[in-house]
Amino acid sequence: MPVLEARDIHKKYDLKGREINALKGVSLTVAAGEILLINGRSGAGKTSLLHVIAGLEPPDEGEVRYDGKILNRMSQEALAAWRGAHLGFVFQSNNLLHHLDLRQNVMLPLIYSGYRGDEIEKRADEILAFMGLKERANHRPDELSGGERQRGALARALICSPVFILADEPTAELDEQNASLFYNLAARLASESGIGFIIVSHDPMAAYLGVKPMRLEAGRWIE
Amino acid sequence: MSSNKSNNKKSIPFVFIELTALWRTYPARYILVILGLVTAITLSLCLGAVALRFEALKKNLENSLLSRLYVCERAGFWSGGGVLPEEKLRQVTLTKGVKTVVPILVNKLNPRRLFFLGIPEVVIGIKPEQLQFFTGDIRAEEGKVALMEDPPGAVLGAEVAGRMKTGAGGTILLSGKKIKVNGVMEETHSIFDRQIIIPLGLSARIYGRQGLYTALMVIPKEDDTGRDVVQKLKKISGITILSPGEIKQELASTLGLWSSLTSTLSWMSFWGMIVLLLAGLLLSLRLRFREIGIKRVLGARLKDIFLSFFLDGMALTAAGTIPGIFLAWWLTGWLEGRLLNSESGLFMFTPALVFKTAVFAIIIGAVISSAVALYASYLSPGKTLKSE
Repeated sequence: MPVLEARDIHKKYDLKGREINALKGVSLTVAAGEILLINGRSGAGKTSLLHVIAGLEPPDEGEVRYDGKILNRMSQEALAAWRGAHLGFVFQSNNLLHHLDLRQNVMLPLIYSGYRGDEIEKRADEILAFMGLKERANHRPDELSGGERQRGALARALICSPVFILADEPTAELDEQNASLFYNLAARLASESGIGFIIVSHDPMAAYLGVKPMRLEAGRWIE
Repeated sequence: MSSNKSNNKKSIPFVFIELTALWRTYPARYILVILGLVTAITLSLCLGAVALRFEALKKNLENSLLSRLYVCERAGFWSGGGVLPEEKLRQVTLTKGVKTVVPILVNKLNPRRLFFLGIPEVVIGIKPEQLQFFTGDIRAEEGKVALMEDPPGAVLGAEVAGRMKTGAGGTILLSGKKIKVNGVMEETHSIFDRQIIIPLGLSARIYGRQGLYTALMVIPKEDDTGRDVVQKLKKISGITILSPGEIKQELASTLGLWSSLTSTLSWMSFWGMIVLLLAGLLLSLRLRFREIGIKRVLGARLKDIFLSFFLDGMALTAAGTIPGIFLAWWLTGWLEGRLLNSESGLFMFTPALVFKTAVFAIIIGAVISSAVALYASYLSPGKTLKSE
């Protein structure tokens, strides 16, 4: 079973000459089919941790491993290919490209993975139907509700059959009903499809996931 | 699914579909940038066409004038029409060392009539016996050569003869007077191609400048150098001698100046295009900053980001250049026909100019688009995702 692992991650940022220690030796392990729920105050380093795990930013110290392979030694191109094949990402907001319709947005990961032809549209339509968004496939993001947009984002994260999905405050802009729908779906995907989740969220509705949250404060885990 | 990889290609690559979607989403931004680019290209081409005309005129004048010594009024060199009275001509004729003096009466025709009648721009009047050497190599059609003893008639420039569909032995009508055509000059690719040379007396009668000349051509005697003659002629008050070097200078300082000025303005318009394109693409980059990070998260490679921005820039270049060329072509034609009423007066809108402009635009577009696209593709995905 593939495992995603972060070991002793340190990350600093330079903010207008001021050094910010976003992560101070953070480690975590999550296996496919598991859900890891992270919370913490704003500026605690949650988004930075997700970015480092996804290979979007390199750690200053420490390493990220996937199935034993050290990701932070890979080139940007190799990381992009790895993300396309193994990782889905759900953002807090603004995550669908508003010049494309929902179907085109969902198709993007397949296109970047080198797929061509009608099959990608068929696959996008299938996953949109699974998310209850079949009728909205031709709509642009600004014509969708917040819940539909976020389900669309999850559909896009799922289309390449990822092993792990990273979600950064996925329900921050959703009402309770849509938030519970999202977390129920995530729990179902983890148990039925064996997808591993790392979810950063403050939302009480995350209790639907049935996992104990880990708390990050000032770049460190706290009990 | 892997069996479908790359073997079931759609006719339109997704990057073009996305480009169309982008243009549909932000029509005002693209229309504004395109309008700016079209204006810059049109201006650049129109000014370039004017510069080419000045350049060609300068070359033609140099080619046709530099081998001779001219005496003329500085205020109105050549067809500008400085008027020299008969008395001055006599003084020049009597100057020691002068072998021949060719008095010339130049009449610039009303350009309005050019368009409809196809008649020449300039009529030059000279003495019939001087016509032969003045016009140089006269080639008559059907073996006929205009000779000294030929009765006074006209010698046509090659272009004039072509446009009037006549040749040696034919007749032309000039201000209501029938004039026999003695010969047709060989094509010189100079101002002479668009002239009619007629006897001075006839010219003076038609255009009413008896005893006045707009230029003189002075040929020194074999044993006198041109410099000696010039020194002597300079003593005659009221005339200015322009030596070949001075003519060249004069041309450089008038036509050359105009040519440089219009060329510079043309290049500045082109710079306008560069600045507009760069501004348009940088604005696009700013607005699509977060999109870069999202795409990278979704697995986009450097080439995907590069292509997206590069094609955006090249499409803008094409959308500005192609209509710009057509607009300039139409505008120069319209200005010539409606305002100036001449077939080839001010603009020299040549295929070479269009080709050069298009090639420059493509190169500039490619360089700017590549630079912006490269910058976009190497941006840190984390940094772009954190932007709002």
